[in-house]
Amino acid sequence: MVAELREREPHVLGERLGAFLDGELPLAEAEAVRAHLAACPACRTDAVALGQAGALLREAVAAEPAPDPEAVWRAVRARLQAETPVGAPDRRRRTLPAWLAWPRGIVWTAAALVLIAGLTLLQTREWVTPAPGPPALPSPSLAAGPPALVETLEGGSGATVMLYAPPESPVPVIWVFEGEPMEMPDAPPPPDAGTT
Amino acid sequence: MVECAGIFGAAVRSNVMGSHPPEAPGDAALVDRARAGEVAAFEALLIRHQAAAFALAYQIVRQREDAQDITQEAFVRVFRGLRDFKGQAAFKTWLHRIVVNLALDALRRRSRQPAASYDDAREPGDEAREEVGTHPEGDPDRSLEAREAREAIRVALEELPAPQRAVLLLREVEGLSYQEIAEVIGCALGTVMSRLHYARRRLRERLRPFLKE
Repeated sequence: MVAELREREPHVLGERLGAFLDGELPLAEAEAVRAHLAACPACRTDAVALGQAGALLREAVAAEPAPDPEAVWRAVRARLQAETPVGAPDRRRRTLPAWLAWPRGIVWTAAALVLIAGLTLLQTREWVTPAPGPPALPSPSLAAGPPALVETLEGGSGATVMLYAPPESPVPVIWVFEGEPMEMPDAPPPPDAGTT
Repeated sequence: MVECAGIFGAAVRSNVMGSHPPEAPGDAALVDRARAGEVAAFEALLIRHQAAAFALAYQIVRQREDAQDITQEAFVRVFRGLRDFKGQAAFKTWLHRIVVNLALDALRRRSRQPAASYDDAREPGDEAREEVGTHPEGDPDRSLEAREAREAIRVALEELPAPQRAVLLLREVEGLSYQEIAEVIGCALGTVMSRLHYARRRLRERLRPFLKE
Protein backbone atom coordinates (compact mmCIF):
# COMPACT_ATOMS: atom_id res chain seq x y z
CA MET A 1 0.00 0.00 0.00
CA VAL A 2 2.80 2.38 0.92
CA ALA A 3 4.64 1.41 -2.28
CA GLU A 4 1.50 2.26 -4.21
CA LEU A 5 1.47 5.65 -2.55
CA ARG A 6 5.08 6.27 -3.43
CA GLU A 7 4.40 5.30 -6.98
CA ARG A 8 1.80 8.02 -7.06
CA GLU A 9 4.06 10.63 -5.53
CA PRO A 10 4.82 12.45 -8.78
CA HIS A 11 1.10 13.08 -9.18
CA VAL A 12 0.50 14.04 -5.60
CA LEU A 13 0.53 17.75 -5.02
CA GLY A 14 2.20 17.40 -1.66
CA GLU A 15 1.39 20.07 0.90
CA ARG A 16 -0.48 22.03 -1.69
CA LEU A 17 -3.28 19.48 -1.97
CA GLY A 18 -4.19 19.77 1.71
CA ALA A 19 -3.80 23.54 1.62
CA PHE A 20 -6.04 23.68 -1.43
CA LEU A 21 -8.71 21.61 0.29
CA ASP A 22 -8.41 23.84 3.34
CA GLY A 23 -8.88 26.94 1.22
CA GLU A 24 -5.47 28.22 2.21
CA LEU A 25 -3.84 28.66 -1.18
CA PRO A 26 -3.57 31.97 -3.00
CA LEU A 27 -5.94 32.22 -5.91
CA ALA A 28 -3.43 31.64 -8.72
CA GLU A 29 -1.93 28.62 -7.01
CA ALA A 30 -5.36 27.25 -6.25
CA GLU A 31 -6.32 27.50 -9.90
CA ALA A 32 -3.27 25.48 -10.86
CA VAL A 33 -4.13 22.77 -8.35
CA ARG A 34 -7.72 22.74 -9.54
CA ALA A 35 -6.56 22.24 -13.12
CA HIS A 36 -4.30 19.38 -12.09
CA LEU A 37 -7.06 17.68 -10.14
CA ALA A 38 -9.39 17.90 -13.11
CA ALA A 39 -6.88 15.95 -15.17
CA CYS A 40 -5.50 13.54 -12.55
CA PRO A 41 -7.71 10.74 -11.13
CA ALA A 42 -4.98 9.63 -8.69
CA CYS A 43 -4.82 13.04 -7.04
CA ARG A 44 -8.59 13.25 -6.94
CA THR A 45 -8.56 9.92 -5.08
CA ASP A 46 -6.01 11.31 -2.67
CA ALA A 47 -8.14 14.36 -2.08
CA VAL A 48 -11.17 12.22 -1.29
CA ALA A 49 -9.08 10.06 1.05
CA LEU A 50 -7.85 13.15 2.89
CA GLY A 51 -11.40 14.29 3.43
CA GLN A 52 -12.51 10.87 4.68
CA ALA A 53 -9.57 10.55 7.06
CA GLY A 54 -10.34 13.95 8.51
CA ALA A 55 -13.99 12.99 8.99
CA LEU A 56 -13.02 9.78 10.78
CA LEU A 57 -10.69 11.75 13.05
CA ARG A 58 -13.46 14.18 13.94
CA GLU A 59 -15.84 11.30 14.64
CA ALA A 60 -13.30 9.67 16.94
CA VAL A 61 -12.69 12.90 18.85
CA ALA A 62 -16.40 13.62 19.17
CA ALA A 63 -16.98 10.09 20.53
CA GLU A 64 -14.75 10.84 23.47
CA PRO A 65 -16.97 11.90 26.38
CA ALA A 66 -16.26 15.38 27.64
CA PRO A 67 -16.35 16.26 31.32
CA ASP A 68 -19.44 17.83 32.86
CA PRO A 69 -19.22 21.56 32.11
CA GLU A 70 -20.72 22.48 35.47
CA ALA A 71 -18.08 20.41 37.24
CA VAL A 72 -15.35 22.17 35.30
CA TRP A 73 -16.84 25.54 36.21
CA ARG A 74 -17.07 24.64 39.90
CA ALA A 75 -13.46 23.43 39.91
CA VAL A 76 -12.17 26.53 38.16
CA ARG A 77 -14.15 28.86 40.39
CA ALA A 78 -12.92 27.07 43.51
CA ARG A 79 -9.35 27.35 42.32
CA LEU A 80 -9.69 31.04 41.60
CA GLN A 81 -11.16 31.66 45.03
CA ALA A 82 -8.54 29.51 46.73
CA GLU A 83 -5.76 31.42 45.02
CA THR A 84 -7.03 34.73 46.40
CA PRO A 85 -4.97 35.31 49.54
CA VAL A 86 -6.43 37.38 52.38
CA GLY A 87 -4.23 40.16 53.71
CA ALA A 88 -1.29 39.42 51.45
CA PRO A 89 0.07 42.11 49.16
CA ASP A 90 -0.56 40.09 46.05
CA ARG A 91 -0.98 41.66 42.62
CA ARG A 92 -3.53 39.03 41.65
CA ARG A 93 -5.64 39.90 44.63
CA ARG A 94 -5.86 43.52 43.57
CA THR A 95 -6.91 42.57 40.09
CA LEU A 96 -9.67 40.19 41.13
CA PRO A 97 -13.12 41.58 40.43
CA ALA A 98 -15.59 42.13 43.21
CA TRP A 99 -17.64 39.02 42.49
CA LEU A 100 -14.77 36.78 43.51
CA ALA A 101 -14.29 38.64 46.77
CA TRP A 102 -17.82 38.10 48.07
CA PRO A 103 -16.78 35.89 51.00
CA ARG A 104 -14.68 38.71 52.42
CA GLY A 105 -17.56 41.11 51.92
CA ILE A 106 -19.85 38.87 53.90
CA VAL A 107 -17.36 38.68 56.77
CA TRP A 108 -17.01 42.46 56.97
CA THR A 109 -20.76 42.94 56.78
CA ALA A 110 -21.33 40.41 59.55
CA ALA A 111 -18.70 42.09 61.70
CA ALA A 112 -20.35 45.46 61.19
CA LEU A 113 -23.77 44.04 62.11
CA VAL A 114 -22.40 42.51 65.30
CA LEU A 115 -20.82 45.82 66.25
CA ILE A 116 -24.05 47.72 65.64
CA ALA A 117 -26.05 45.15 67.60
CA GLY A 118 -23.60 45.40 70.49
CA LEU A 119 -23.78 49.17 70.57
CA THR A 120 -27.57 49.02 70.48
CA LEU A 121 -27.60 46.66 73.44
CA LEU A 122 -25.32 48.95 75.37
CA GLN A 123 -27.92 51.68 75.00
CA THR A 124 -30.63 49.63 76.70
CA ARG A 125 -31.23 49.10 80.39
CA GLU A 126 -31.71 45.40 79.84
CA TRP A 127 -28.00 45.17 79.30
CA VAL A 128 -27.46 45.03 83.05
CA THR A 129 -30.39 42.68 83.71
CA PRO A 130 -28.93 39.48 85.02
CA ALA A 131 -28.96 36.62 82.65
CA PRO A 132 -28.99 33.04 83.85
CA GLY A 133 -25.69 32.57 85.54
CA PRO A 134 -22.75 31.58 83.42
CA PRO A 135 -21.34 28.14 84.04
CA ALA A 136 -18.29 29.49 85.82
CA LEU A 137 -17.43 32.84 87.27
CA PRO A 138 -14.08 33.96 88.51
CA SER A 139 -15.24 35.57 91.75
CA PRO A 140 -17.30 33.77 94.44
CA SER A 141 -18.76 37.09 95.51
CA LEU A 142 -20.38 37.48 92.08
CA ALA A 143 -21.57 33.94 91.70
CA ALA A 144 -25.32 34.65 91.86
CA GLY A 145 -27.79 37.42 91.04
CA PRO A 146 -26.64 40.30 88.88
CA PRO A 147 -23.04 39.23 88.74
CA ALA A 148 -21.36 42.45 87.84
CA LEU A 149 -23.78 45.05 89.15
CA VAL A 150 -22.02 46.22 92.21
CA GLU A 151 -24.10 49.14 93.32
CA THR A 152 -27.26 51.03 92.47
CA LEU A 153 -27.69 54.47 93.95
CA GLU A 154 -30.63 56.85 93.74
CA GLY A 155 -29.49 60.37 93.29
CA GLY A 156 -31.21 63.32 94.82
CA SER A 157 -32.27 64.68 91.44
CA GLY A 158 -34.24 61.55 90.48
CA ALA A 159 -31.41 59.94 88.59
CA THR A 160 -30.19 56.39 89.01
CA VAL A 161 -26.48 55.77 89.12
CA MET A 162 -25.21 52.29 88.45
CA LEU A 163 -21.71 51.12 89.07
CA TYR A 164 -20.57 48.18 87.04
CA ALA A 165 -17.33 46.39 87.81
CA PRO A 166 -16.69 43.64 85.31
CA PRO A 167 -14.70 40.84 86.89
CA GLU A 168 -12.27 40.65 84.00
CA SER A 169 -11.36 44.33 84.11
CA PRO A 170 -10.16 46.60 86.91
CA VAL A 171 -11.88 49.58 85.30
CA PRO A 172 -15.43 50.18 86.60
CA VAL A 173 -18.21 51.53 84.37
CA ILE A 174 -20.70 54.08 85.63
CA TRP A 175 -24.15 54.69 84.10
CA VAL A 176 -26.37 57.57 85.03
CA PHE A 177 -30.10 57.15 84.14
CA GLU A 178 -32.46 60.03 84.47
CA GLY A 179 -36.02 59.52 85.73
CA GLU A 180 -37.51 56.85 87.99
CA PRO A 181 -35.18 54.57 89.87
CA MET A 182 -34.39 51.40 88.01
CA GLU A 183 -36.38 48.30 88.94
CA MET A 184 -34.10 45.44 89.75
CA PRO A 185 -34.99 41.75 89.66
CA ASP A 186 -36.81 40.44 92.68
CA ALA A 187 -34.44 37.61 93.27
CA PRO A 188 -32.80 38.11 96.66
CA PRO A 189 -29.07 38.33 96.62
CA PRO A 190 -27.14 35.47 98.06
CA PRO A 191 -25.79 35.95 101.55
CA ASP A 192 -22.34 36.89 100.38
CA ALA A 193 -23.26 38.58 97.11
CA GLY A 194 -21.41 41.74 96.29
CA THR A 195 -24.48 44.00 96.20
CA THR A 196 -24.35 46.48 99.01
CA MET B 1 -4.83 33.71 2.18
CA VAL B 2 -8.25 32.12 2.39
CA GLU B 3 -9.46 32.80 -1.10
CA CYS B 4 -10.83 29.67 -2.64
CA ALA B 5 -12.84 26.65 -1.70
CA GLY B 6 -12.01 23.09 -2.53
CA ILE B 7 -13.80 21.50 -5.45
CA PHE B 8 -14.82 18.61 -3.23
CA GLY B 9 -16.43 20.81 -0.69
CA ALA B 10 -13.86 19.86 1.91
CA ALA B 11 -12.73 23.38 2.58
CA VAL B 12 -15.14 23.82 5.43
CA ARG B 13 -14.24 25.79 8.48
CA SER B 14 -15.48 23.01 10.68
CA ASN B 15 -15.81 23.74 14.35
CA VAL B 16 -17.53 20.68 15.66
CA MET B 17 -16.66 21.27 19.29
CA GLY B 18 -16.94 24.97 19.83
CA SER B 19 -20.03 26.07 17.98
CA HIS B 20 -22.80 28.02 19.65
CA PRO B 21 -26.22 29.31 18.65
CA PRO B 22 -26.08 32.39 16.43
CA GLU B 23 -28.32 34.36 18.75
CA ALA B 24 -25.92 33.87 21.67
CA PRO B 25 -23.49 36.70 22.40
CA GLY B 26 -20.15 36.33 20.67
CA ASP B 27 -16.92 35.53 22.42
CA ALA B 28 -15.64 39.09 22.12
CA ALA B 29 -18.74 40.47 23.85
CA LEU B 30 -18.48 37.87 26.60
CA VAL B 31 -14.80 38.66 27.08
CA ASP B 32 -15.61 42.36 27.46
CA ARG B 33 -18.33 41.61 29.99
CA ALA B 34 -16.14 39.18 31.91
CA ARG B 35 -13.37 41.77 32.02
CA ALA B 36 -15.87 44.20 33.50
CA GLY B 37 -16.47 41.72 36.30
CA GLU B 38 -19.54 39.86 35.10
CA VAL B 39 -19.20 36.36 36.44
CA ALA B 40 -21.91 34.95 34.20
CA ALA B 41 -19.98 36.03 31.12
CA PHE B 42 -16.83 34.22 32.19
CA GLU B 43 -18.90 31.18 33.09
CA ALA B 44 -20.55 31.29 29.65
CA LEU B 45 -17.15 31.37 27.96
CA LEU B 46 -16.05 28.38 30.00
CA ILE B 47 -19.21 26.40 29.34
CA ARG B 48 -18.98 27.16 25.63
CA HIS B 49 -15.33 26.23 25.16
CA GLN B 50 -14.48 23.71 27.83
CA ALA B 51 -15.38 20.66 25.76
CA ALA B 52 -13.16 21.77 22.89
CA ALA B 53 -10.36 22.60 25.30
CA PHE B 54 -10.66 19.20 26.94
CA ALA B 55 -10.81 17.35 23.61
CA LEU B 56 -7.73 19.14 22.36
CA ALA B 57 -5.82 18.48 25.56
CA TYR B 58 -6.90 14.87 25.68
CA GLN B 59 -5.96 14.14 22.08
CA ILE B 60 -2.49 15.52 22.76
CA VAL B 61 -1.74 14.04 26.18
CA ARG B 62 -4.01 10.97 25.88
CA GLN B 63 -4.84 10.88 29.59
CA ARG B 64 -8.19 12.05 30.82
CA GLU B 65 -7.00 13.14 34.23
CA ASP B 66 -4.17 15.18 32.76
CA ALA B 67 -6.54 16.62 30.18
CA GLN B 68 -8.99 17.67 32.90
CA ASP B 69 -6.20 19.35 34.86
CA ILE B 70 -5.02 21.12 31.73
CA THR B 71 -8.54 22.31 30.95
CA GLN B 72 -8.97 23.77 34.42
CA GLU B 73 -5.54 25.35 34.42
CA ALA B 74 -6.20 26.86 31.00
CA PHE B 75 -9.35 28.60 32.20
CA VAL B 76 -7.62 29.80 35.35
CA ARG B 77 -4.96 31.35 33.12
CA VAL B 78 -7.61 32.80 30.85
CA PHE B 79 -9.22 34.46 33.83
CA ARG B 80 -5.93 35.86 35.05
CA GLY B 81 -5.12 37.11 31.60
CA LEU B 82 -8.48 38.73 30.85
CA ARG B 83 -7.21 42.18 31.82
CA ASP B 84 -4.35 41.97 29.36
CA PHE B 85 -6.29 40.28 26.56
CA LYS B 86 -6.90 43.01 24.02
CA GLY B 87 -8.70 40.90 21.49
CA GLN B 88 -5.76 40.88 19.09
CA ALA B 89 -6.59 37.22 18.45
CA ALA B 90 -9.88 35.37 18.67
CA PHE B 91 -10.70 34.14 22.14
CA LYS B 92 -10.70 30.56 20.84
CA THR B 93 -7.22 30.97 19.38
CA TRP B 94 -5.96 32.38 22.67
CA LEU B 95 -7.53 29.56 24.66
CA HIS B 96 -6.15 26.92 22.31
CA ARG B 97 -2.68 28.39 22.54
CA ILE B 98 -2.82 28.04 26.31
CA VAL B 99 -4.18 24.49 26.10
CA VAL B 100 -1.59 23.36 23.53
CA ASN B 101 1.27 24.86 25.51
CA LEU B 102 0.06 23.23 28.71
CA ALA B 103 -0.39 19.90 26.94
CA LEU B 104 3.05 20.01 25.36
CA ASP B 105 4.54 20.95 28.74
CA ALA B 106 2.76 17.97 30.28
CA LEU B 107 4.21 15.68 27.62
CA ARG B 108 7.68 17.07 28.21
CA ARG B 109 7.33 16.44 31.93
CA ARG B 110 6.08 12.95 31.22
CA SER B 111 9.02 12.24 28.92
CA ARG B 112 11.41 13.09 31.75
CA GLN B 113 9.72 10.57 34.00
CA PRO B 114 10.40 6.83 33.80
CA ALA B 115 9.18 5.50 30.48
CA ALA B 116 5.49 4.70 30.35
CA SER B 117 4.06 3.28 27.18
CA TYR B 118 0.95 4.67 25.60
CA ASP B 119 -0.92 1.54 26.66
CA ASP B 120 0.08 2.31 30.24
CA ALA B 121 -1.37 5.74 29.78
CA ARG B 122 -4.73 4.30 28.87
CA GLU B 123 -7.09 4.42 31.78
CA PRO B 124 -9.44 1.79 33.15
CA GLY B 125 -12.53 3.38 31.62
CA ASP B 126 -11.06 3.71 28.15
CA GLU B 127 -11.88 0.24 26.91
CA ALA B 128 -15.33 0.37 28.45
CA ARG B 129 -16.02 3.65 26.68
CA GLU B 130 -14.89 2.17 23.41
CA GLU B 131 -17.19 -0.81 23.93
CA VAL B 132 -20.10 1.51 24.54
CA GLY B 133 -19.40 3.29 21.27
CA THR B 134 -21.67 1.22 19.08
CA HIS B 135 -22.68 2.31 15.65
CA PRO B 136 -25.83 4.41 15.63
CA GLU B 137 -27.54 2.04 13.23
CA GLY B 138 -26.88 -0.87 15.55
CA ASP B 139 -24.95 -2.80 12.91
CA PRO B 140 -22.37 -4.92 14.79
CA ASP B 141 -20.05 -5.06 11.79
CA ARG B 142 -20.07 -1.32 11.38
CA SER B 143 -19.68 -0.89 15.12
CA LEU B 144 -16.65 -3.13 15.03
CA GLU B 145 -15.31 -1.23 12.06
CA ALA B 146 -15.82 2.07 13.87
CA ARG B 147 -13.92 0.77 16.89
CA GLU B 148 -11.11 -0.46 14.68
CA ALA B 149 -10.97 2.88 12.94
CA ARG B 150 -10.76 4.65 16.29
CA GLU B 151 -7.96 2.31 17.28
CA ALA B 152 -6.14 3.09 14.04
CA ILE B 153 -6.56 6.78 14.73
CA ARG B 154 -5.24 6.27 18.24
CA VAL B 155 -2.15 4.56 16.87
CA ALA B 156 -1.67 7.18 14.18
CA LEU B 157 -1.90 10.00 16.70
CA GLU B 158 0.49 8.21 19.01
CA GLU B 159 3.02 7.83 16.23
CA LEU B 160 2.99 11.52 15.43
CA PRO B 161 5.35 13.91 17.15
CA ALA B 162 3.34 16.09 19.53
CA PRO B 163 3.62 19.33 17.48
CA GLN B 164 2.32 17.55 14.37
CA ARG B 165 -0.48 16.01 16.39
CA ALA B 166 -1.43 19.43 17.70
CA VAL B 167 -1.43 20.95 14.21
CA LEU B 168 -3.57 18.13 12.83
CA LEU B 169 -6.12 18.47 15.63
CA LEU B 170 -6.26 22.24 15.44
CA ARG B 171 -7.02 22.05 11.73
CA GLU B 172 -9.18 18.96 11.38
CA VAL B 173 -11.08 19.10 14.64
CA GLU B 174 -11.05 22.74 15.68
CA GLY B 175 -11.14 24.18 12.19
CA LEU B 176 -8.50 26.83 12.81
CA SER B 177 -6.97 28.59 9.82
CA TYR B 178 -3.28 28.13 9.10
CA GLN B 179 -2.61 31.61 10.40
CA GLU B 180 -4.41 30.84 13.65
CA ILE B 181 -2.54 27.55 14.01
CA ALA B 182 0.76 29.36 13.45
CA GLU B 183 -0.19 31.76 16.25
CA VAL B 184 -1.22 28.94 18.57
CA ILE B 185 1.88 26.83 17.97
CA GLY B 186 4.21 29.76 17.52
CA CYS B 187 5.66 28.75 14.17
CA ALA B 188 5.70 29.92 10.55
CA LEU B 189 2.88 29.32 8.09
CA GLY B 190 5.14 27.07 6.03
CA THR B 191 5.82 24.94 9.09
CA VAL B 192 2.10 24.57 9.64
CA MET B 193 1.64 23.39 6.06
CA SER B 194 4.47 20.86 6.19
CA ARG B 195 3.49 19.48 9.61
CA LEU B 196 -0.09 19.17 8.54
CA HIS B 197 0.89 17.42 5.32
CA TYR B 198 3.05 14.89 7.15
CA ALA B 199 0.41 14.26 9.83
CA ARG B 200 -2.36 13.78 7.29
CA ARG B 201 -0.27 11.38 5.26
CA ARG B 202 0.42 9.30 8.36
CA LEU B 203 -3.22 9.33 9.36
CA ARG B 204 -4.33 8.36 5.86
CA GLU B 205 -1.88 5.46 5.77
CA ARG B 206 -3.20 4.14 9.06
CA LEU B 207 -6.80 4.59 8.01
CA ARG B 208 -6.44 3.22 4.50
CA PRO B 209 -8.37 -0.01 5.28
CA PHE B 210 -11.32 2.14 6.35
CA LEU B 211 -11.31 4.60 3.46
CA LYS B 212 -13.61 4.14 0.51
CA GLU B 213 -11.33 4.93 -2.39
